[in-house]
Amino acid sequence: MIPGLPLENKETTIGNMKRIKAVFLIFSFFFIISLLILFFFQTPLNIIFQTITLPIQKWVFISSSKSDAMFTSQQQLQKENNQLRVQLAQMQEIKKDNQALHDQFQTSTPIPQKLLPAEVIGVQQNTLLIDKGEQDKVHRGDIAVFKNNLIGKIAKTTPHISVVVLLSDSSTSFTAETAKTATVGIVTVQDETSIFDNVVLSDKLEKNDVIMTKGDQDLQGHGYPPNLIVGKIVSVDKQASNLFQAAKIQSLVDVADLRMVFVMTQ
Amino acid sequence: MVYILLILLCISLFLEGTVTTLPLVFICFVCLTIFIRTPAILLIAFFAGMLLDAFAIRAIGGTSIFLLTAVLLILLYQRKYEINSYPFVLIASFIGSLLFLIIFNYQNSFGLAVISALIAVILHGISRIAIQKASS
Repeated sequence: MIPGLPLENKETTIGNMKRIKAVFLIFSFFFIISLLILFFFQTPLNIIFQTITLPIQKWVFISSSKSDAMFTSQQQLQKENNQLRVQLAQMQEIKKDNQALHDQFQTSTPIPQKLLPAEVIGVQQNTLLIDKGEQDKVHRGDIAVFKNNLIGKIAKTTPHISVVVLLSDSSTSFTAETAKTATVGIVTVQDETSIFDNVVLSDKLEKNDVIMTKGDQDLQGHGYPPNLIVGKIVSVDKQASNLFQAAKIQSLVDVADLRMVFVMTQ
Repeated sequence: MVYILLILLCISLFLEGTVTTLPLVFICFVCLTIFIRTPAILLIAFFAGMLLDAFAIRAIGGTSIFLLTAVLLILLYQRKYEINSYPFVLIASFIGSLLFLIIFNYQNSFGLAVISALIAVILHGISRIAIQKASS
């Protein structure tokens, strides 16, 4: 009993206290369960939840993304233009390869890798979610590509889903070269923009030149393989007072439109 | 209106797990807690958090803990102060979203929190008008 209060107020106060007790009890119960799950039951719950949610997630992603029919003629032209650029870069690579063959009568063979098709089920800030995971032999550090465009690197894997960190992520850093002039530099990200940096002033950088990976693989084949397209140069920042020149890069692939990528598994 | 908010919560779950980084689920919980105000909301928060973690490839349980704590704080706050008001929704959703985005390591947290707070106020306004019309 609470002394000094009118009967109606006392009943209300007791009712409120009971309610608060109930709220705290339910909160504590679910809080403890959440903690237990967080620290002890990650893998089994991940498998169960992802088996249930994967088809729904795919469906939601496909329905919420714009369809091909919504492309304007300008976007179509842009797409074709990008495809032509890719072809041109490929031609230049073939030309270079032929030259090397003529010169040395041999060519280097990259480490054979398998391409695993994976459907995109989500796009978030600088990441893609794909429907392939550890059970499909996708590992952290594997490379995701689309045609011969570099999309990103696998940063996290779960049994059924993996996270691809895109090139626009601030952690991106690898060596690359231009297709036309074979100028070497480092691809990094500054203010959410991809930059082809650390290029010596004496080297030549041209607008619209295609940037390709130079190859950053270790003995096990982990890392960026060579000759994957990173993007095209949209502007060059060259100042005589600086040690290096840099260029802004634009990807030839619109990540928001991607429905499928290929994972280069070892 | 509560049912509409619950449907919105389901849609937000799928959207937040696939196409957006805005904490839509948290916003829905701010609005839902204002209108439901029963311990049942904790149960919904627990399961919504689990599903959201599964969608977003996070450690399962983390979002549940965040949502449970947020709902508990709102339920405790409503004992002393009026929570069915625009300033409360604006401040609660902004601070909550900012914390959520920082804890789960999103980029541009401040900007996203501002947008989230605005969405929460609009959603709360629509809910209030709809409830007033339904009761009159």
